[in-house]
Amino acid sequence: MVGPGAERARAVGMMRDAACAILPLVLLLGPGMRPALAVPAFAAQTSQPCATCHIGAFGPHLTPQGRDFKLHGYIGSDGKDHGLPLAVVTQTSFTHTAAPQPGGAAAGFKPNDNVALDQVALYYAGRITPEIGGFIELKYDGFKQQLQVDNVDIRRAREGELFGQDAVWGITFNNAPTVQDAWNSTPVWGLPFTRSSLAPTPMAAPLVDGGLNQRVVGAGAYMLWNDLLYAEADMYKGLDATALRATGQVPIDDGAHTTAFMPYARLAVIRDWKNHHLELGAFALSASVVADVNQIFGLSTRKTDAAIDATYQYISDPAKVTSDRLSAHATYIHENAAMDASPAQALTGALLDHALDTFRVDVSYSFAATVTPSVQYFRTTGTPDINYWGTPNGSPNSDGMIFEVGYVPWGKPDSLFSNLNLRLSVQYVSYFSFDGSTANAASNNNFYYSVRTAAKF
Amino acid sequence: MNIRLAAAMAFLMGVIVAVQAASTITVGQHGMVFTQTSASLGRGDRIVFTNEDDVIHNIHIFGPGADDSTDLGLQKPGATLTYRFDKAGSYMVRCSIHPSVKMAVTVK
Repeated sequence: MVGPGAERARAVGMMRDAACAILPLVLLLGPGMRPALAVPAFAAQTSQPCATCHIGAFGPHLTPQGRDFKLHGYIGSDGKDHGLPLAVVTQTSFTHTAAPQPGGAAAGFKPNDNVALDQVALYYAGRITPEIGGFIELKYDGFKQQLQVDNVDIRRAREGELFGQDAVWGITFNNAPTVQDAWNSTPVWGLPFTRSSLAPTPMAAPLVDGGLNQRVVGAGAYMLWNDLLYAEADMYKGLDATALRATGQVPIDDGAHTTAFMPYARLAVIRDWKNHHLELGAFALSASVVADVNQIFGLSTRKTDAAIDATYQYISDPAKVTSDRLSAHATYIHENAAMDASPAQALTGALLDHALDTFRVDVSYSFAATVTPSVQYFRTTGTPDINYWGTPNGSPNSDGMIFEVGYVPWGKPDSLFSNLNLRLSVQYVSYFSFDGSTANAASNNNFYYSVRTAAKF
Repeated sequence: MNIRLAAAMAFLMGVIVAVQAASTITVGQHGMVFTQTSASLGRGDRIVFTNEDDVIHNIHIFGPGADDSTDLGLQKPGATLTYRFDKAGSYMVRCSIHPSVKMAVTVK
């Protein structure tokens, strides 16, 4: 027997699926819209195709020109007036997991094979004043059904000389550690650029690896000296519950809580020669947080993250933005989480100190800025503690691989639709171990098909 | 008469020497950088800027005064833009779209 409630739910689901399929096209082609390129307002401001700044002709994978544009404060321009730099990006998807998820993949979704409107994002992206630029992303999250402020990076940059060599320095205001970074070997802009919110993901991750995104605000100063040395220092402050509600983050105890100040630092050595770019860097963050529900909820923990990262890019012909491009990244993050001894802590029986190590390495190759296959190996290991981690056997360990192929038909100089962009991708995530167990790890494997569109008002 | 003729000849020779002294060099934008990072010119010399990339560039010349600037506009792939450096001093030539495209020019 199928009751009226179930029928109604199924009808709502069908309507949602249909909306998911149609909405991107409506947003892309509808009257009053001017479809454009990657973060399309940037492309319009500079008269450049997406492929100039993005490997694979779609953000956020940056080329050397994309990094330059960012480090110089997002103000590079063709000198024309393109109006307000507003753009819309949509993302819709289909997720299939190896095993159905009892009770539904998320509230309002089936146990498996879900079509979803992942997000609709409105960007202000470009010049704010002649010397200040940035981007502000306002997003409708289709899973949480919540409007929220997403990534923000506003900066002012200047050029000059230091010790007789060229230098670029600037200040940044942003809301996620590493969102301001120009290399894709740091967490916010690291591969995979998109993944399913309807597939299981490992529980444990270092704080700097997404744990503070949009839950903090920060300001910092950076400098690139002689195209060789990059240094940055920021100070973040955790948002209180009122601010989290106001920005749509909805503090429902699903993330690490803090209102403390948190220092962040970044150093990198970069080298460009002929067709090659190499970056070797390090970054660190320290914060006192109240751990989330996956750990010991309510107890304050000092988390200190130290990381090293590397980026290598090979551009087969720098004079052609559609030339083939190889890109590789590696990231290693070590986290030490220390709790103060207290009666509350003693009651839990948990250890005072826990280590967590995350390692990722990926390679992608972009053919003619059109087809870009990528592969990534990821691994997280940590101190086992049944009283600390929210896993069945107390181990936070997970590892696996991600395979992805992206297809971008436009965003190149000779594109038929020079003001239109679209990315189709298929991604497969395969786990060797998941939350401390190898036994059923493969049941979390998933296929994720996604369609991203970009349009400018 | 001979003196006048000699003076006229000297004037014409001077003009010819001056014309011959003015030179033109070609600098390309190739791979998102200028093909040379600096140039030393005489007054009246020209630079022909070529765009050897497959995307639009710009040529914007700053100097020799602190507030002096000349924007030659956008430069499509394959197009050339020419500028004559008439004043002595230091110039910076940039593409306003791509911050890494820049070269220093000294005019004596």
